[in-house]
Amino acid sequence: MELARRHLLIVTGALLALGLVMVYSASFVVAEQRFGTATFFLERQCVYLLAGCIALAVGSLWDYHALGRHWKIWLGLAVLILIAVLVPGIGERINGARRWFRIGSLTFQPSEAAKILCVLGIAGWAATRGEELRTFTRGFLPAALLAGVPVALVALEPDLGTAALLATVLCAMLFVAGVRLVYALPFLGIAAPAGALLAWEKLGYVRDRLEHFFTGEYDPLGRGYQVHQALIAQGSGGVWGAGLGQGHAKLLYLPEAHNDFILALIGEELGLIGSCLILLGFACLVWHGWTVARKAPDLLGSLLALGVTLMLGLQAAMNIAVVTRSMPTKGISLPLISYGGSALIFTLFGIGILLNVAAHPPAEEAPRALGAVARGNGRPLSARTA
Amino acid sequence: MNDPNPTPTPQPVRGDTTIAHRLACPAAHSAAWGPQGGVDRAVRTRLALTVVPVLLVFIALSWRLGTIHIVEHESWARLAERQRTASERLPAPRGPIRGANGEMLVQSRARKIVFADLHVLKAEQKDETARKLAELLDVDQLLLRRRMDLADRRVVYLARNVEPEQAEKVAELKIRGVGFEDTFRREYPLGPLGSHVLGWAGTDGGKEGIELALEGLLRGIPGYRTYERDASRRALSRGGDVSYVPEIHAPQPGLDVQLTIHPGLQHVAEDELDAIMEAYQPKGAVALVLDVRTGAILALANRPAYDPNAPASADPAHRRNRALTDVFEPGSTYKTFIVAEALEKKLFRRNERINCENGAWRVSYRTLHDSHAYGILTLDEVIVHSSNIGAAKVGLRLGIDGVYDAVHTFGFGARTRIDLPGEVSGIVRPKHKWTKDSLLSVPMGQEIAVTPLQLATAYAAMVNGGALLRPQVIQRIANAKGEELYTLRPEAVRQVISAETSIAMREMLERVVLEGTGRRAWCPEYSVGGKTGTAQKVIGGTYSHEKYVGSFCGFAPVEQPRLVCLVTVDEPDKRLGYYGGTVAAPAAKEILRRGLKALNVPPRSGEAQELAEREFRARRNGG
Repeated sequence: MELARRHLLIVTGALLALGLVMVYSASFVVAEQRFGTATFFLERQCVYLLAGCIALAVGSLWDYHALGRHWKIWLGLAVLILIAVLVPGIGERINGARRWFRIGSLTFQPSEAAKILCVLGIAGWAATRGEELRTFTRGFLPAALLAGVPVALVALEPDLGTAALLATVLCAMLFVAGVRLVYALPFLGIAAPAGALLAWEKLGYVRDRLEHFFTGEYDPLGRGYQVHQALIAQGSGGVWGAGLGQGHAKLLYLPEAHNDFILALIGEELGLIGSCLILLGFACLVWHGWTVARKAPDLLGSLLALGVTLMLGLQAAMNIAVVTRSMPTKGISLPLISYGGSALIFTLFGIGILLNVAAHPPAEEAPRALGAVARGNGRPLSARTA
Repeated sequence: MNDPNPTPTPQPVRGDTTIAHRLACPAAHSAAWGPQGGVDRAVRTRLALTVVPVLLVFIALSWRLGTIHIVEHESWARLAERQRTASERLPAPRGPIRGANGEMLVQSRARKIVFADLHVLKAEQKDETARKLAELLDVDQLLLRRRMDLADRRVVYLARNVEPEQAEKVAELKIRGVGFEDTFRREYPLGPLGSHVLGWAGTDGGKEGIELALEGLLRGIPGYRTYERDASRRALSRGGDVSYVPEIHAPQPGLDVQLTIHPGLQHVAEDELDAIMEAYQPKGAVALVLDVRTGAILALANRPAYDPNAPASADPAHRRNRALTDVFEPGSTYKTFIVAEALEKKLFRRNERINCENGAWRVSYRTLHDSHAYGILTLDEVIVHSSNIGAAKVGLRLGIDGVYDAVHTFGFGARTRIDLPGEVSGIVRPKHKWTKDSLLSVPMGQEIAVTPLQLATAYAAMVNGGALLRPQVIQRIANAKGEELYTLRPEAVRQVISAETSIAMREMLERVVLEGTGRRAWCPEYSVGGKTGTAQKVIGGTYSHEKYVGSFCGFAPVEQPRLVCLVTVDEPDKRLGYYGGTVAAPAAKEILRRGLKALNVPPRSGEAQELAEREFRARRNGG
């Protein structure tokens, strides 16, 4: 656990540092062009990073049990902000989707907060249900409701990528907690095709992206432009890359080079080595997250660790899949690396929770020699002293 | 939650729930969270079931990354290279055109095109930009402003012909979205002088004259420069982080062409034509000066003319090089060739007496007339006095074959193959259509139509000893480094008459000037020979008595001919004068006189001049 904790911190730090460098490399051209200062995005990212570090500290110091106890508040808050963002006048509409709050020049993406709030809420709820979870009425039904409402709200923005991610992570947590997902099968049999059909009909952009992806048609100047440019960038990077700062994709060829498509730029400038290091970093996070989840002292810790780990791992996987044209474009950023304020802060808060859980070893592992016996009141000493 | 070895669970203590306590001793509050001994086996199994797929996905993604980065590397790199390299054309300057002594007649000057990139130029800056540019470039501000709103284009040209220094001033304003392009402007510093030889060139190449004829040589080969650009197609700046290695292929300037045209002589010819235009109000006039030894054209002038600096504003008819493209019935100037052919074929002796029928001769169904009635004339005198009846009698003796030969050997009915565009071959009816009538008409210069250039070329052959030379205008061609690629060499087409006949013709033609129709071509400094022509124009199928072409073809010096000069005057105002000897001969004399001076041909000494003058007066009084 101690090893996992140290590794988690080191890998997180390394990814953040690399991300900061690459955000600058990717954005200085577009920043210079749009805002007149090359460091525009870099400066902001630094501020977000600072806020993220505070969030990480809070997440790791504030006992996760206390967090888990207030699951009603977290879920309620998530639902509240997700509803608020849908209200015209409060939610900002950009490119046809209401995904942002705007306060002055700052924008805030509530679905980023909702992701971690839902993980907290579902973990808190599930960890206290015990054997009830295996039943339909007291287990599956409330679980479906608690997880389904936020997912549906995110999907309504519409932000189908995040909704799918959130749904997958929450389902995995409920599955691990013991909810019998087989109950969902008949429901899925009816609802899933209906939902898919609805999305297909109502949301033009979804259809466009899927059609484009599945027909395999190459339309490098139209809808496929961004992915095409991403592939050009990565492919031309080769094994060793063009060198830091030497890429061409950021010369306005690749839109959102500092954002969702930053991996393409990393691939161009740092080559396959750079991309694989990123992938390895995330694999490392997932591996140690898994360790933390397995060795957590209780189900709450385990579920929290799993939620945070899957959220990180799956999001990274989805992003990389999009950038390598293995999946239709989703609008999902690369955690810890991509430019973005709210995403970075809440991701680091999640990692803080992961570290928090890692700081609680199971009772057997507690250092008894210094622990409960010495205190004489039957309580174990704080695990953090180990 | 079937932990086989449940550890004792501490009971929560009510009074202990401060945050500080929780932070210090979190496990104390874990009563609700079940046992602290870790999660059970079933949970661990399910954890593995959820996490391992994610790791498998990672492995699959690394495979995909490898494919893109290694297997497909080359094709992606090629696409990347292609989309970020662009090439810019570097225009090549057109070669200069010079006069016979290297005088600059046509040159290309470096200019800048000022353009606006409407994707970069900010909307709120347009007004101010238009104002500043209008001031610096001396263009209409409103016009500039309106061009900046052309929505269907990205790049609009604001000014095309900007001096580099002016462009520099515009560049100093540093307006984003205003750019420059190199170009060259063709300049004709002497204006209309020699415009029909030089022609003119537009932005897409030569259109007329030498500019068109030598387009391929004058044009030059444009170079190009490759550069890297960003997605908005701007060239990358040289500084910064991005490596930048431009590839430059320098443009090759066009070749340097030197003409045989002698600007001084050309100037004289044009002045004389202007004087003719003033004095006789003709529709047009042509002057041609040839070097009889080489066939080089030293001057070629047409009226009306135009300024090649502004070709678009000229009437296309004024741009026509009439010396090559327009034909006329030569009239009496043509008689010379029939007589020469008759001498060459030894059908006549020079002193043979010919009955000129006292000015009117009925033959077959027509009656021929002379302007003055003559009785008996020698062959020489037929030319000297330009007797139609005499010429017709020579023609009759030559027969159809003989007259036809006289037409063809001297090059009529065929192009002279001069290096200028637009030349026509004239009109000579095919031999089988000739009748006995043709034998009367052709010797007096009717029934055939010739270009002034053909006529001048044939005269040159007649006086230079009999060699018909191809007329040429290109003296020398060199490349930009000064290496000579071509130089003029006289090209003989054929020998048309013998040297003896040529000498006889010179003497005959000198007498025309001394005592015949060409007396106004006489000058004291040089001996001049020549022949006048006054041809009626065919209007509606019959010979007009109102419209004439007056011409004179002279040469000098008689003893050793150097220049031939033809002057034709088209439709002079009949009331002011129309005889070739009146309207054309004085101009031809002046051109020859000043031309020979310019070529440093020594004139007669003062004494010889006086002697010549006395003889000239004596002959006139005697004749």
